[in-house]
Amino acid sequence: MRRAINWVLMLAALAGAFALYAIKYDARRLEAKMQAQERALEKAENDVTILMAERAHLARPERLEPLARSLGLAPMTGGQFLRIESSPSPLVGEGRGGGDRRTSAAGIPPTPNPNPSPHRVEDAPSARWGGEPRQ
Amino acid sequence: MTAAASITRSSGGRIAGSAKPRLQLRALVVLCCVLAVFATITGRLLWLALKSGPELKVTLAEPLARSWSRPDIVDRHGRLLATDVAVHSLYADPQLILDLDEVVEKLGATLPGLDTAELRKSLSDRSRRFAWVARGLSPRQAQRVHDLGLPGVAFRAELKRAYPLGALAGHLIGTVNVDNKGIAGIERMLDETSHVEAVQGPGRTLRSPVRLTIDIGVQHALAEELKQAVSRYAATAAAGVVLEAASGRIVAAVSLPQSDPARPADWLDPARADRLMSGTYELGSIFKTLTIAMALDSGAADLDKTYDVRRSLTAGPYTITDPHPLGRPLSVRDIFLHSSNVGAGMMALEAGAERQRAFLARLGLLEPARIEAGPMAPPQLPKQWGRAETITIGYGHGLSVAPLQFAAAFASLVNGGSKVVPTFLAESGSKTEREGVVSAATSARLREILRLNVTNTAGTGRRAEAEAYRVGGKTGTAEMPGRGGYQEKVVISSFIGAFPMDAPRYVTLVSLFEPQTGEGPGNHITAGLNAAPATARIIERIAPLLGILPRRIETRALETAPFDAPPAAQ
Repeated sequence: MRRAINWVLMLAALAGAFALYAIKYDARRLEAKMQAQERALEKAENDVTILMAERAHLARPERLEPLARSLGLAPMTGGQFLRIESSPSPLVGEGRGGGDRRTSAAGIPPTPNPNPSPHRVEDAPSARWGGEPRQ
Repeated sequence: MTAAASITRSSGGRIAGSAKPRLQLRALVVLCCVLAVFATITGRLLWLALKSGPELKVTLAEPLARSWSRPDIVDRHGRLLATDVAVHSLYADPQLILDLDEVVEKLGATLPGLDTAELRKSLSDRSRRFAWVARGLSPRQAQRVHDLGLPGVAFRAELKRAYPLGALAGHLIGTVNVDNKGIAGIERMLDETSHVEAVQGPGRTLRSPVRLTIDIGVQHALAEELKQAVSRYAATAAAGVVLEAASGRIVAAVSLPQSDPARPADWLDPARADRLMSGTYELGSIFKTLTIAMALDSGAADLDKTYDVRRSLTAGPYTITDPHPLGRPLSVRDIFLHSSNVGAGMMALEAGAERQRAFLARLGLLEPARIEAGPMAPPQLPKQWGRAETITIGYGHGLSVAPLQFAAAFASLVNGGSKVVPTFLAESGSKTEREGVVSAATSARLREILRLNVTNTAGTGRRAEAEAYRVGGKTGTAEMPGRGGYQEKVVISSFIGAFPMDAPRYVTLVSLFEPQTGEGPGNHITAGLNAAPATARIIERIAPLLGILPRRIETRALETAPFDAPPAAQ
């Protein structure tokens, strides 16, 4: 009886030792994995910073201006502004409650805008530029 | 039987009696051994703890590993102006170096610009365990050094400030030293306001970026136009600023030649000093705007009041005359349009030194000013403020101020009269009640004559008119003081303006230093012929970026539009 208990205890001690060994190495492995991931995260963060700096460097106006000019572009001038009412574009009035200049595809005349805003043109640039509305 | 039993008992007793002390002895020996082992372990631990302590401490708190993590700097639209990147820095442990000559020779060949004599000197000291070789290497350079396989040299990653836009906005961003610590401009302000954090190695701390009021597009347009003006009019330097008239937020600030934040040596070069903030100048006739504002605001004059400017003004040994006298009395309006020195001097005299001084103080022109990029150069006041000084300050001589400080004072005059404090930080545009410096009526009359100075054919600023953006402003050609008095051909020509003039949103100041020529025939160097047309070009270029519409569009001038609008369906 005593002998059997001793065997059981010895086996239990062996199993315990083995389990401890396994857990220890598992923890070590996880630790190494965590460290690797932390390093990867740090590297990714650094890469993002460098890429953002590079993007800003490539998009600097000093570099873009000659490139744009070589494509035939030039800075905007006052003469290029147009009132939206005077534009022949078919987009005029779409979704802006100002569909007074277009006839729908079915040939139904659109509803006239009861309150045409005299300053409608000014909404567009402010929205586009993200600036404050004109005073 | 009894005897045998007694023998057995006695022998058993003898046996038991001799084994007991032996066992005790054995146990004692084992116990002593175990104790000795434990004592050895304890002693060793104590020895390690006491002896190795200081060494460990040195390794952890080594100041050389320290770097400063800084927040990113972005413009008003969030475009990146400055950021921290991790770089490799090369150091050496002189004790571990086997062949000093080989190390110095190979590193010198791999890293151009390395001071090999200095390196040899620092690595020769074998008592040292640490010496920097080169800081902030590019990944490619670091790889090349790594490939040399030199014993005793190693890398340490640390943070380095990167400025992707180069010298654009360099003056106001400032610069950092080799340890990533701010030494000028906004960078220095970040250190002073504890926006930076000490870190070990290349670890960046997460901080929200610092947003400036600068718009990179406008800044670039201003810099480009100023560069063209410098070459067109053969000037030595130029400065320009664009600020919001109501809030004082600076949209663009350029001083040429520029300073590159990546080259801290630029900050030691006096030729590259920031002329907007760190220099004070007598700005000349643009000061007449202030003199007239003072006269209008005090009620001493209105725009139609006339002054007899035919006779010259005398102040002590000096006689003040107009360069192009008209030979008739001039109204305040004409004094402004023709930029009459005598007229402005008379108006200043009429107000008197005390009132003039109080008015300029109210505009903040007599006190040293401070902005986020550092303290501005303090104004240079006359030693005594007598009759002569009152007259000369009336037309812009005798009082030197930083151009940015003047631009802010001008903005206060045209925005309806509320005081403007210039700022570079987007969040600091205070919404608090602002001090009034002049009445709204005075501001309106000033706007009227400023606009007239550009639209009238006799106005000195007529060349500043920019394609329907309603520019208004004043020219100023100030002779620069030199050895033995003012130099006639060495001038600062400036144009202070605002647009659109009916409700000014932006104020511009353009100053050209020592221009040699101007527009039109003859090499005239007056501001109306160089600074004014330069301002027109700048405004034509930046107004669309700032969302200002030309008058033609704003007034619904449909008939002038290139396309005929189809009749609205009624």
